[in-house]
Amino acid sequence: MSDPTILVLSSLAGGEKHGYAMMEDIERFGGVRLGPGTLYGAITRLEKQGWIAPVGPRDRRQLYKLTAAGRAHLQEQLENLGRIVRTGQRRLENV
Amino acid sequence: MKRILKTLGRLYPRAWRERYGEEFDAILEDRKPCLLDIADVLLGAFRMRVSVRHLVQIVLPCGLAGAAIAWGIAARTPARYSSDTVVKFTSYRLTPVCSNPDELPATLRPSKGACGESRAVMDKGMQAWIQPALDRDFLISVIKSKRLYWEQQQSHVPIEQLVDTMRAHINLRPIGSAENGASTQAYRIEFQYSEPRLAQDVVALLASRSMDAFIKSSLAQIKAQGVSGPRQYARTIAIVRTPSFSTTPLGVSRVHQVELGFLAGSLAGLLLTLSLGSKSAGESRKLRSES
Repeated sequence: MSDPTILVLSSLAGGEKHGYAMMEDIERFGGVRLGPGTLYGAITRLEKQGWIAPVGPRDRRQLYKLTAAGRAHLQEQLENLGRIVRTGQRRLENV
Repeated sequence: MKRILKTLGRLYPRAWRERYGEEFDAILEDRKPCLLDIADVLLGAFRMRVSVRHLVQIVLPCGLAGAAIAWGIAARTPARYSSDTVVKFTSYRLTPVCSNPDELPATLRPSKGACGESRAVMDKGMQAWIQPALDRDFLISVIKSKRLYWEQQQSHVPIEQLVDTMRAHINLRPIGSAENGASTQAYRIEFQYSEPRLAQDVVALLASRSMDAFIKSSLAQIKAQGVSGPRQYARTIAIVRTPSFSTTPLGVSRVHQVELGFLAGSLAGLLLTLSLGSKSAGESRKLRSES
């Protein structure tokens, strides 16, 4: 699972963060080291979709938060992933 | 490394940099960079500049235009086919016992340790046997009898020009020599033409012409020395490889030319897209208003 948009949404689900904090968090919980180009590509797309939003005034270390639409999208994506994971595990157990 | 990454960060579209530039630079300062980050930033900048819409609206049409141009050029350039043959000239030094002309077939076997004519003499002779294949009158007779360059003939292109064209399509090249009891040199005779069968016919004629010259030269030598006089050398000529017939055209095939045209066009489209700057004016305005 290395879709950067899901990783960023999951990171922001734990609270507001700026870019560098997201990178650290994602590396910690996902074991994935996102490059700056990949991270900001995902942030740009997610902000354009309205799934994340900047918090407070413009800053060099801009904080971002998950929006309600972003939360719903993440929920949907994780449920889909969960279904896939459960199906895969069940099938592995039956082998 | 950080300086390189910051410089590469400037490849992002201006509108994007106005919105995210400071944050992006800050993250480059905070993070310990690695080599993979260079590729990551480059790819990120590329993705920001080129969208799927750009690929469909600019890059794909440019690629198709390139393919069409390449097809047009390929269609106007007739395919050329090559035919070739290899002729081998050999010179033996005759042993005294074989100097009688009646015994000539036996003398064609090289005696142990005997060499043929010197390389210089052979080279000189070779020129005399090969060059007649490029003779003007001979080429004119071939052009007329085989109806070569027929369209140009119908368009009243001067015959001298056709001779020059034909000479340019003939390739006479020594491909090897040996000194093993005899002096041997092989020549490759090649002709390229738009019809493979005619290319093959012409190569056969060129080889025949060389053989004629060789036989005439050898007979003249015998005549000069006198039929019953002692002879030092015997020469043979052999067609080592019969004129080839190939239905595969020379050079890059038309399909590949079209593929190359598509690639070149796509590349031009990509460069055009990158030179346009940001993804679109609308997106730029949106990013600016958000910032």
